[in-house]
Amino acid sequence: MTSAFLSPVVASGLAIPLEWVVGLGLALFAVGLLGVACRRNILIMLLSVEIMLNASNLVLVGFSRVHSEISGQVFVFFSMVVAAAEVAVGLAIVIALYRLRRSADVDDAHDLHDVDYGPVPGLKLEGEPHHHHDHDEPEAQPVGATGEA
Amino acid sequence: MTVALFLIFGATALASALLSVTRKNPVASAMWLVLMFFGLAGNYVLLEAYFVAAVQILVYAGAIMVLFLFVIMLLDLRREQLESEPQPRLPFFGVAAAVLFIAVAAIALLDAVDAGVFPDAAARSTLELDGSAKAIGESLFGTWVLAFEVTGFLLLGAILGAVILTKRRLT
Amino acid sequence: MIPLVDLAVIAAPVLGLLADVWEFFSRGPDGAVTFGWVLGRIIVVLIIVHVLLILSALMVWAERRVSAWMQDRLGPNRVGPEGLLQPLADLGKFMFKEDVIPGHTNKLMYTIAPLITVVPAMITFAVIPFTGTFEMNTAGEEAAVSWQAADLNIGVLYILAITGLGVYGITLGGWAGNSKYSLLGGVRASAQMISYELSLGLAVVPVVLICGSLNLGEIVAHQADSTWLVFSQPLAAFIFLVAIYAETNRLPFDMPEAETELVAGYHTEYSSMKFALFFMGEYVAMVTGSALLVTLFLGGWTFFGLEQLGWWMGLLIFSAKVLFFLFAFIWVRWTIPRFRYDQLMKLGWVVFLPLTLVNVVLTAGAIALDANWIYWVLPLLVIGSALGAAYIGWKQDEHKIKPLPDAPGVAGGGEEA
Repeated sequence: MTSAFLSPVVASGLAIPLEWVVGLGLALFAVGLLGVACRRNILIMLLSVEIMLNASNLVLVGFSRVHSEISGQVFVFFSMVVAAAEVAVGLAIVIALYRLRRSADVDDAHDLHDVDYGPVPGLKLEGEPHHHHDHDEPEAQPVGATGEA
Repeated sequence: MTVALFLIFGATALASALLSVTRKNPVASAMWLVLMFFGLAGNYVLLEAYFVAAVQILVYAGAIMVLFLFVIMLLDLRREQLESEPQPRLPFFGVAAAVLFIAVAAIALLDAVDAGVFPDAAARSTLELDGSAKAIGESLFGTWVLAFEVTGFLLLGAILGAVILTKRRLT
Repeated sequence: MIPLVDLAVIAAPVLGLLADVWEFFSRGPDGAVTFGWVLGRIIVVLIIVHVLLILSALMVWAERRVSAWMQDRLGPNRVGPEGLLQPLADLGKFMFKEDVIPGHTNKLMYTIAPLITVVPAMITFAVIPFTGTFEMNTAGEEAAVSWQAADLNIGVLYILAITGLGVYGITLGGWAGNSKYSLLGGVRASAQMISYELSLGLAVVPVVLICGSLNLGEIVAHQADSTWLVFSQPLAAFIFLVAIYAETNRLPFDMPEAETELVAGYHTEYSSMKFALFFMGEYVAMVTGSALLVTLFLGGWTFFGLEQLGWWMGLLIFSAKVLFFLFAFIWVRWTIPRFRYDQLMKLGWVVFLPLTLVNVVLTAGAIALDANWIYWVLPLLVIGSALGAAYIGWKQDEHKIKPLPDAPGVAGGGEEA
């Protein structure tokens, strides 16, 4: 059942080269990776994860089309469900974090990261954002990463 | 025509994704991402995945991003807080990771093209796929019915988790 | 005043001529879809957009006149006959007012927010079949195509997807205004519209289940063959109606722009034509919502065989139904007071969501078991329980509201309250 409306746009067969679809997916994934790695605003990091999920969805749809196998599109459906669940829980964590720290900066949430007995969560819920940790401290330097690059 | 449209939609999606991750303001970021969803939905239509295209707009643009906007507005980050993002976290390593990823992916992609993994124009012209809601439904409730049920539980867990996480006091 | 019959006699040849023009443009030489086909579509789109704009302008007039009528006053009646040209005068005023962009706003978002409100409301109309079908030759096959800008197979999904976008304009408008009243309006709008979208979507599911199609033309055809879905699915129809009121931010659900608490809600900071665009968006959304309700539950352009007189009759029937629901929007506005925000949320999540879910499960069960009697028991059950609930509520109110002990002459006043 092809749509009468869409028939002028979409010809039978696939005119788009699959490698372009995959390339676009990879480029989008790289953009998402860039966002997750470079941004420190937790909301934008979550948005970047969405970009990466969308990139994989695009590749799934492309391969589903080429292999004439509908399962690829069903997987996209599942991936959207997972994305919705992830966003619901992720945003709940953002709200809970914001209540504690008054900040959407991921680097403000590193209580388990190093030995820093900052203010006990729950004692100072409302009021000024407290910068119990200075960003200039060299603790964020990933020493091991230089070896990898 | 189809290829030109694919390029336009793809360029839109890529450009708006880039703008989305580089904006300081989360609201602007979210709006650019909505544009990216539209670009991808256009590409899904060109790939004859009509149902996926509609669900993409319905779920991503209609629900997920509205939820994002709601939370951003609820947090109401003050301007100084937004623009105080001192410097990108791990700027060098982030960019290096993205560039390396692109390089590896490009090499792999070109290799695959050389090896003839992707069908050429002649092979593509005979491809047929019914991407209608009916076909998706038959696959979803036939082959993948177990996975479908499991996603139901996943969503239930996500709802419970979200409610518990955002409750101020559990009584 | 010309009698309605004469009007039809005059209109029929004119519309027939238009139909010939349509045929010319829509049929290529070999029946294939051609440039003419595309041009025909563009003409239909232009007609729809203009009708929607004129209708929304007339709705502004109707809103004021009907409100005045309900409150026993006159309303605007100076510009043109019966004040019909009042919208034009309003438009002129909006056009020549200074277009203030407050300095504390986000300029880009502030400018595009009104546009984002209008566009989704308008493009939803693209898939609504507003009158009968005509034979068209597509790709060598004769097929009955219904009159609409785009005959989408996933029409229902398209509608749900696009109506979900209307919230962006309001939310962004509230956020870009950068004042506390705007922001509160925007936050309220986003939460409200996301909540009611669930009920809206789930209320459509039984329709799709019964008709077995996502195509709006086929849904109308199914209703013409059997019966209007409002009779077999009264609960879904009612919840859809209420959800439309919530989605368009109309009373009793107009919390995002509640003038008594939020000045003007999300458009507090707007002036001139941008403000008018928000208004236009709301009215176009009302027209689209009414058209959707009519198409999904009230048989669209059909009226028990009357539509077979010709496609212009179908158009008249469709317009009459839509105009009735547009009137109902104003009617409800002056009948039911505004809900409180927590009542609104409770209604959406605690009442409507479970009800629609139960409705979907029952309908699906009826279809799976091929048990047609459920179609007839379900409406009776719904109407019975609604009457029962109303009776219980009335009884409780009767006990709750008692006349003051020492106030003379108020005995029996409880019912009036």
